[in-house]
Amino acid sequence: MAIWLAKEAREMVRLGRWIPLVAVYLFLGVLQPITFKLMPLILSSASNLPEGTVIHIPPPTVDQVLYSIIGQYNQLGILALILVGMGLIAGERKLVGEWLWSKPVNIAHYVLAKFSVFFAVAALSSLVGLGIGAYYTAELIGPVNWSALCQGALLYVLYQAFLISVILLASALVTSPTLAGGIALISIVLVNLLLPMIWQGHFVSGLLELIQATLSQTAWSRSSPFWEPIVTTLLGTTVLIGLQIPLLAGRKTSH
Amino acid sequence: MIECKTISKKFGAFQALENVSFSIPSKKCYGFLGQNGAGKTTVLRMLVGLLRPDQGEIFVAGHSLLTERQQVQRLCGYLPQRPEFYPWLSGEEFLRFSAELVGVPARQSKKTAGKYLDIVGLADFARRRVGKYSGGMQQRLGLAAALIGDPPVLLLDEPVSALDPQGRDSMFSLLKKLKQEKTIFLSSHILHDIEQVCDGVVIIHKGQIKAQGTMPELLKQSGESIVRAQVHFEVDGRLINQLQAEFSGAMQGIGIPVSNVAWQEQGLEQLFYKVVKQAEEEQHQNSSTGQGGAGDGNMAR
Repeated sequence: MAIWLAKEAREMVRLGRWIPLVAVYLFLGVLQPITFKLMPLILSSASNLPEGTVIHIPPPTVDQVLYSIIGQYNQLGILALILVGMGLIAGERKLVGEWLWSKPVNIAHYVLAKFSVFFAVAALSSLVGLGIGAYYTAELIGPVNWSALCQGALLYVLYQAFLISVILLASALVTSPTLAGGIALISIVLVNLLLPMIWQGHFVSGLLELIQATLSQTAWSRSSPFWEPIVTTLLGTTVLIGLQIPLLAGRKTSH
Repeated sequence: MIECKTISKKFGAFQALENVSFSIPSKKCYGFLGQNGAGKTTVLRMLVGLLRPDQGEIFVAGHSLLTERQQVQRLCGYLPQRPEFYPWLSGEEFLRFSAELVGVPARQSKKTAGKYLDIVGLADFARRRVGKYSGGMQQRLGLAAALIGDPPVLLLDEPVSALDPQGRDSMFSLLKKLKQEKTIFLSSHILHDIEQVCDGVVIIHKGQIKAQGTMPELLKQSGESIVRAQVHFEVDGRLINQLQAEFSGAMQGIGIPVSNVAWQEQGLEQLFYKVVKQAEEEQHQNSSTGQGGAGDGNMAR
């Protein structure tokens, strides 16, 4: 396992795969509080409104700003994750698959190392981004409840783990990184759009609601217990990672 | 050491291999000879567990590939036909990774990598990124990666295809040394390469094994049908004419007409294929007219 972790970490650094993750998450973290603070100024200077028009925008609450960071993570952040993750397995199989699979590779170690290094970089980037975003929010908008922020951030990191397991599964399915990216994007969009409609308050959609409730420090209003989305997302992530093992073991002998 | 029993493989409607059976004895170097597309790479990929046969069994050192694939993979070092490795690793880093992958402890991997880089003549390029290696260097690095962990079996798919003449010579010298202690099975479509280093040969044509055995066995089996011709790589027109005369005489001597063969080719390879093709056509004509083929079981070289 250690050799795979070392190899993955080296690959992440040498190919600069960490750069889009750190850049996007930090940028989004900083951007949101500044945008909210400067929004009235931006609107008044950017639009051709008649003289004397008064724009009244109610000041945003701290939890609104913080959750907007999560909202941005859920759009541009997901695209960055897909960009980095789509070739992690597919690209490697395409490039060195014939040599690599002729070795007695432990597929479980291979998959876990891929997940661990990708997750560590993505989680660290998003946590630092949220931390910087919270600092600017505290400076520009109002006092931040750091305890609630930490809980919300940890829940988001769990959601990220789920996203990464979806992306890696897509990357294990095919040998074209672009195709893997497409499959991952469609799968995540479907999960984000369909699950809230058919399974509101549960699984991943429940987790996003729980993050919002945690950041705004409001009570969990769903009938299911608050831990249910946490446990089901954890289970879902584990299943998706586990699925990659037999899938890749099968691909070893049939490509 | 290596035993293939009636293996067959289809890719869609294309029958890539049909009842392929052969065996390679321990600590011998055997060549796997056949034209491009004959099925050599398919067989080699099966031997390392990259492809599963539709039917038949493969054993390496008594281990079945179907039930003990990881065990077999530990016993085999494999050099793919077009070796491609992590371009962002240096040669030394790649070999350290390869070494640790086959169980060499991390603290010994640097020494092991250095040893094999030296063996394949890449010690001076240890710190260069693999992405900047030439095709020949990658092939030598691939051989080092196949050798690492000291597997008793080496499976080499066209191991000299990207090497220059000097590189080929050093590769063959190395293989000659290695065959003292390892079982080597190397594929090539060039008879001359096989002849330089191999104790025996397995000949495959259109997915079927046509002949197998040691060189003396094959010569003995085919007896008078063997056509011998000494050809130098750099031949002038005079030598070609001489070769043509000698070869034509020899072919006519065993009953194969040569009137339809054009003799412009300067390479032994093309010559070889022409002769085999001629013999096949002859065999086909004879079998359709009910006669015994003059080319039956022939090996022309």
